[in-house]
Amino acid sequence: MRIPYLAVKNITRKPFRSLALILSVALVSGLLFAGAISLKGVLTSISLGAKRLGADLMVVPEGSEDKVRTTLIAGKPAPIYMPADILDKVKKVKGVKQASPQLFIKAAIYPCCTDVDAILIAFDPLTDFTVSPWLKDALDRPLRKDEVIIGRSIPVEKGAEMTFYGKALTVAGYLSDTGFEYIDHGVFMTFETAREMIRQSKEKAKEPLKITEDSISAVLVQLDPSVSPERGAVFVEYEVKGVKAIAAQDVVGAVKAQLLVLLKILLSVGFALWAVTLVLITVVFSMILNERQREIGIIRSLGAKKQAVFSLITLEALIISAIGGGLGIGAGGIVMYLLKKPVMTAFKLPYLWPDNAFIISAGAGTLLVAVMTGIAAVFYPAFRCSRMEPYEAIRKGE
Amino acid sequence: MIKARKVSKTYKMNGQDIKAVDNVSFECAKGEYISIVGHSGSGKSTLLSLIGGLTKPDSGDIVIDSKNLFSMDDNALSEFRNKKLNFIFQFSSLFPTLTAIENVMLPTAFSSKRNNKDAMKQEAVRLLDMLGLKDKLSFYPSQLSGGQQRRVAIARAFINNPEIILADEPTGDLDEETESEVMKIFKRMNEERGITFLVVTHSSAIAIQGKRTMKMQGGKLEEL
Repeated sequence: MRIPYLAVKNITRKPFRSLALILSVALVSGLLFAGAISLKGVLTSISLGAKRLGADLMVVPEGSEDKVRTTLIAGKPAPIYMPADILDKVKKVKGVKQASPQLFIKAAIYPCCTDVDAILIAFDPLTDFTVSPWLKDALDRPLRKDEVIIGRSIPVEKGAEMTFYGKALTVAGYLSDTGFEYIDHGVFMTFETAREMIRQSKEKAKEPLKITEDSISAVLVQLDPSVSPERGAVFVEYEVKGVKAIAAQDVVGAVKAQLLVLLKILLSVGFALWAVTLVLITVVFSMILNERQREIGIIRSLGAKKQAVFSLITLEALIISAIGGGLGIGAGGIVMYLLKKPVMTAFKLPYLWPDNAFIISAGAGTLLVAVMTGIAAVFYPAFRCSRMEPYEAIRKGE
Repeated sequence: MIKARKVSKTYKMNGQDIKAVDNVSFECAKGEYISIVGHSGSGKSTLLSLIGGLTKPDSGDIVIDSKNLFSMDDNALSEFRNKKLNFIFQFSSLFPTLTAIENVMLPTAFSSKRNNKDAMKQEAVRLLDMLGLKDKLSFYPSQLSGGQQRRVAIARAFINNPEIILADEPTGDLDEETESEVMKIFKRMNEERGITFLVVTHSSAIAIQGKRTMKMQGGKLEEL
């Protein structure tokens, strides 16, 4: 018989009490793990998004900045339109290296199989520098009329047909997963296809599109490396009237602000729960050890050393916290995986599920925190108990 | 083999000093069987705890096999207890989550030497069989009567082949028949294996088993 066996037996002595301790550790661990993968997912998504968005500026109609942010982050298509000649004006602004137009069109639902919002986006493949880098399998030819490239959240096979506003469109390729709803729920097509869809919607669609022929929603701008996004935005807004130039950093900044709110909530709740759990384990173990004073005296009389008593008690806490930690990590991961979409949508945050290496290291880190919490909580009661004179322990336990 | 020299121990109880053991000296040779009688509160249990190194005296020494118990550090003293002596308490000292056989094998969990698990198990079965509990090996204490629990504790006391048994009212809640069987086992262990017994009791029937009888009164020990 060995000490770990005794520790397991002691844990099973009061199953409900042990279960309560396990659940409290599981709750904290679950929150910590879910928090870690949430933050990592959002941060990865932001950095990837900012890196691959490609544009330094997004020029949109004045007064529509908030709608644009909603479109970019939450993927809710905003009906914002401005004359197409804005593109030429923007191209002429000092410091503008490249400019490409986009047109946002709301599609109520995917016509195939789901009721999630999609956003139809017209872009110009010849000048585009924002959509093409996301292509998972690069097209070895230009995107043709009546073809679309779709985001990863749209469950349609390559080569399949999708019909929007009465127009049949063929899926020519996919984009990589970005976590940005705007891209993941995007259906990208050429301006030629979009204009034809708008025209045909008057005859074929139940709700015809009321977008004029020469409209665009945004101009994506790449600046000369010598011009900062802030200066570039000032130049554009000065030269072109009636527009607002949003720096990509602003979008990231908005996400970071949202993230900070989430982080504060998670940290506050997590810290409060952790403190409560630490105190709970300390109190419960102090009670357990008070109840078991005589037993501790008896095992000391049987030859158990002080360190054996200390090991036995800390091992019990370690097992409880490891089981709780494991359960919490599992439950937190599953809950986060299942609820990531509604939660992130509620907080208007982009999200990318972290890679396996991060999940494993976050799990290991969380488990370590859980186990260390358990050990820290029982350290003093275990130390006190192991130092007690055996005969005193027996007498006090009577 | 056991030498107690001017041993005293005082407790504080409700602000008052209680002298449980008062300047006690005695010697006990290897293989002796000593009964210690006395009223409750006379200091018998405290004396046994001092001899077993479970508590430190305020003054005096206890020397077993030329080793002063209280000059040893805790590790050495614990190891000494595990190898040399064992206790039988007057209360139920079994662990509720362990079966009878596991309770008997419990001291092996704290032994510094690697015990042969199978050999220890065989010894535990043999001891439980000797005490009439062979059919209760996997019973938990809650499934055993008070007398059966006491017999398991007695079996546990012999598992490490101790040289000294310190028994505090070992037959306290046993019926007469079992009490007689237990005393026979003690006697046999004393005669066959040369185990030293110090048995605290207030029963004169048990006390007469001892080759020597001592009386504890007001913390003082006197030979009868």
